[in-house]
Amino acid sequence: MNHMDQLVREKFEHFTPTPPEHVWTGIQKGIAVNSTPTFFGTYKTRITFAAAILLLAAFGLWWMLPVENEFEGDYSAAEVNTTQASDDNTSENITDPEWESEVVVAETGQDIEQETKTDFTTENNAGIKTEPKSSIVVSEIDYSNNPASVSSKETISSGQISQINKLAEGPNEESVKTNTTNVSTIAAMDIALQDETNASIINQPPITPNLPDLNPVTKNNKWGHGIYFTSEIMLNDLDSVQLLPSYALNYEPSYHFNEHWFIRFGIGTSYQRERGFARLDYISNDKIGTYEEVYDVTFDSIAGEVVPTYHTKTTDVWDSVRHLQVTEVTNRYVYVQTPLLFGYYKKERKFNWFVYGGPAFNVMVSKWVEEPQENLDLIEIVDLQNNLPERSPYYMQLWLGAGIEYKIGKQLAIALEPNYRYYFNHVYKDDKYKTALSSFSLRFGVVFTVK
Amino acid sequence: MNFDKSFIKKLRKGDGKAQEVFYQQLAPKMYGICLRFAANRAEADDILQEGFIRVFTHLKDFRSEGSLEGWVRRTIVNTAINFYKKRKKRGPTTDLEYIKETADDKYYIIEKMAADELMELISDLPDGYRTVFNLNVVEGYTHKEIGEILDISENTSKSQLSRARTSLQKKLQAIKRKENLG
Repeated sequence: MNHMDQLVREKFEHFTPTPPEHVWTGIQKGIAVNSTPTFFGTYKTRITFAAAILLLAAFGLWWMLPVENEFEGDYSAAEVNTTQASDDNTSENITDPEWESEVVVAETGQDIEQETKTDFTTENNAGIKTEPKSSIVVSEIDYSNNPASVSSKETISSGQISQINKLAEGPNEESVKTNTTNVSTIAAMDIALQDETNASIINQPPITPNLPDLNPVTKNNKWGHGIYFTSEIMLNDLDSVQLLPSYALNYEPSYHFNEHWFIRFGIGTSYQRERGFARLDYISNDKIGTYEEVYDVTFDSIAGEVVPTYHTKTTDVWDSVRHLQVTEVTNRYVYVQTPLLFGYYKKERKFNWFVYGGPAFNVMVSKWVEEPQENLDLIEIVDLQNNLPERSPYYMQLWLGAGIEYKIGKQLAIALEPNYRYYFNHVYKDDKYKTALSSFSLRFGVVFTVK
Repeated sequence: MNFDKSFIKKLRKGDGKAQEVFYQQLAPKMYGICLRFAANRAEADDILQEGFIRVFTHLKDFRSEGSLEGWVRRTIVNTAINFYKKRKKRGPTTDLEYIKETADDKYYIIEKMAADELMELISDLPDGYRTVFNLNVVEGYTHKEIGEILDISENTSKSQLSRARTSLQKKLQAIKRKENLG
């Protein structure tokens, strides 16, 4: 670096002129144009929002699932089923011809209409009171003298009662009351009896309670996994925008609550296009020719006449006129859509048909705004405007559809669904283009059912 | 000039107040660069405006490894270069005739001059000269780098710089002569 360079550099090191105010105004405008909308600002935020909706839908489904009955100490269900079973005479009630009574499970004395008390004392070992033909018998067993005394309720066969009688006839003069209850109590009772009686009695086969089937009613609910391809045609009356058919690919699981009602949700991508015009205002700076420019005129006297001499030079002519060009452009967008649909389903022999409806939330994740295909490098752009209106980053639709499923396998079906969609939100930001939109679509899907 | 991480985070989020403060801090320095590169003041304004819009919209690309001011400076210089390229496409630039480099030790004129006067001299240089001169002398780019940036050969860059210097010296001599006459 020579001396002059160094001097120049030093001079400019602290050269800080004040820029004019209009520059900052221009910057603010420029940032506003380039910035993305704030609510669903970044694509990351949008995807997170869509994922949150999905999670919410999944949680809702899980919450709505019927809870399977589990026999974990709560016997209220057993009580109901038992009573029903008794009434229906469907359970394997043990009937003893001598007793002519059925011994069934009951939980509380309040629910028992008739009660038989058996007092197994040595003095009154034959004092078993019976109510012949009574459908419900409650026996209370009271091992009051036994440390492992148990007050229980259980289904006990007449044979078991006779076992207890035998015990009562033994050395211990205990008052035995039986109150029928559950298996575990009987097991505990067995242990107590073991302590008191000889092994031969204990080695009797375990008492099987006469419990009815506690399994819930067979479920009609099932899951379906569908992949759908959709072609959508939008209806609009916009002059300057031609909305081209859009295409979507969705994954939509469905859950059938019962034979008829189902919920379907999922996620998919929708590819949308629109055609319009862009205005290009430019200066081409093309060299359009040359001309001879007179830069001097001299005069000579030839034969007594003044003759001018024109001194010219060739000058290039450049095109500096502003050109305006309007070209067709196509803007493309990708939206992520998350529908949440409720529907009615009807099974037929080979076909199933269904109708559904529900909201679908669409979030823009990508866009391609086309610029005119001019040789932009060789021209000076004065102004370039893609006249297509700017799209909203999100919108909401209402889907109403019907469809048929054709079974092609035990669990596999193909579906065809004509669909109407109403746009709750306008797809454009500009008020000028805020017109009610609706569309028709045709969906083709493959559905796999999991039972 | 240093900016802390929380401030940069605000800028990245598009906080308007932070952007304004940031602009006010850096704009004068950057405007100086713009004036040196631009053909005129209006173009300098445009470079500054477009440069800062780029800065604010591409701030997410800044990796916080180097100085933010340096990154802004590079962005502004790149914007200025783009303007130069656009100008170049518009039509051939008028290069000054080659002037023999004279060994002139009267650099005191530069020392005496105010920065904006010197800047005006540089602004009067033809486009190509001025751009190469600014990139090499003030911004410190090598001829190889300048060649890559401006799509010219290394030798062209050297030759343009040499002519820029000569032209500048000529202008300085003229000023000196004026002073002597005065």
